[in-house]
Formats: sequence, structure tokens, C-alpha cells
Amino acid sequence: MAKLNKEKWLSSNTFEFEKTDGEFVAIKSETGSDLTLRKEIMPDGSFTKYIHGKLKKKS
Amino acid sequence: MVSVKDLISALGEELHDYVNKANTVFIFDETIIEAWIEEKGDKEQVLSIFALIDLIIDLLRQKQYVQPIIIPIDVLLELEKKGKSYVNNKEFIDAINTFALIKEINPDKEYTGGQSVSELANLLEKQGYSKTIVILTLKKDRYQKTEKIIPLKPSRILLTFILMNCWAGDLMTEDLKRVYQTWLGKISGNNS
Repeated sequence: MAKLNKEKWLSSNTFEFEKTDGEFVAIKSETGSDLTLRKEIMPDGSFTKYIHGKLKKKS
Repeated sequence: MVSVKDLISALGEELHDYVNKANTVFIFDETIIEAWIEEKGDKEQVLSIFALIDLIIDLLRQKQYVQPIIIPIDVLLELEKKGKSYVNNKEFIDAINTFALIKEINPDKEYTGGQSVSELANLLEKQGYSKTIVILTLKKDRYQKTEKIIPLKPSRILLTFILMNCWAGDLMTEDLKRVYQTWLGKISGNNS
């Protein structure tokens, strides 16, 4: 059985799907805002290089 | 000078329907995460996913609307089963949450990554979801293409994504051009 903590993942992401006028849209459950609201955006520059650097430090 | 219309034509008929970004949703499978984090897979595909995610983040920085990107939780479970420890790393979780929605397909059932992606796409289609569902994967053949569900490799979607989000909307800023040049200059071959 996998050990991944589903709750940790799912609770850290507050976006949910709701049906509106026959179409599913993603909304932020806390505020009802639409998808244009996102979590904090990472620092300037290449995001890929940023996350590679972060993960290398941890390994 | 090549027009946007010419570029869209060059993409082929199958892409015409979802050049409009408001009509598209993306689902990522585990091969995309492995390519992005581990640089696993064909170099062209790996660089394409680097470019695609960097473009998505730059668009979000500019507060532009970006297509919904969904990753089923079972995709992450499968990666953990393969021993990918980064799945539980906070930096990785924050990174994914910056641009994607994590969805649980069925809390009582555990799928493989590929099964969960197919299941989500099929559910959305059956429920009358009006958008075109693009499955982004390095293993295109394991998904069934339908009228609404289109499996594609990163290199195939990259140009479309740029058209949908940057060129067509005149959003190709200097930053975006730099991102494009950083990764695309390294890609050779065609876009199939």
C-alpha cells in the first residue's frame, strides 16, 4: 500500500470542481473565485530550474 | 512573416478545435512529472515540458488565464510506489500546487497513474464537460482518442500552447521570448 499522505496533498490544494450551467469549472472553495486565483507564484526566472535546484539540495 | 493563421494551419486539423484556450483542459500523467523532475525520456519531449511549465508559470505571474491543469492523486501515488521520494517533498508539493489542480477520482479505489488519467477524462466526457480534454503524456498510445479526449506528447502541444496563450493574444513579452528561446533553441526535429 502506498504511503503517500493523500490528505496532505488534497488539503494543500483548495481548488474544487463545481457544476455551473451544465459545465464543470474549477473554483477556489474558500472564496468561490475562479481559476485565475492561484497560490503564490515562485520567484522570477525559469521555474523548472528553480525546482530542480531546490530538489537537488534536498537529495 | 508567418501569420498566426498559417501557424495554426501548420499544426494540423486535429488541433484546430482547441486553439481557443477557453475550450481546453489539460490532464498530466506520471510520465510528464518524471520528464519534468527527473529529465526522464526523449530529450525533445523533456525540453518541451520544461518550456511548457515555464510558460505556464510566466503567464500566471502576469495574471493571465491559463487552461485548467489537472493531476489525479493516483498519478502521485504511482510515482511514490516507484520510489520517487520527491513526491512527498514540500518544495515539490508547492511547485505542483502553483499551477495544477490535484484531484481524487474515487476515494475508495486506487488506480494506476494511467488508469486514473483515463478515468478522469472519461468521467468528464460522460458528464457533458464541454471543453476538449488534452491528456499530456509521453505514452500517447495507452490512451484512447475520442472526439473530446486527445492524448498528446509535450512537443506536440507546446506550439499550440504558445499560440493559444502568447502569440494569438499578443502576449509574447520579452520574458516569454526568453523562456521560449532558452528551451526551444535546444529542441531539434519535428513536432510530432
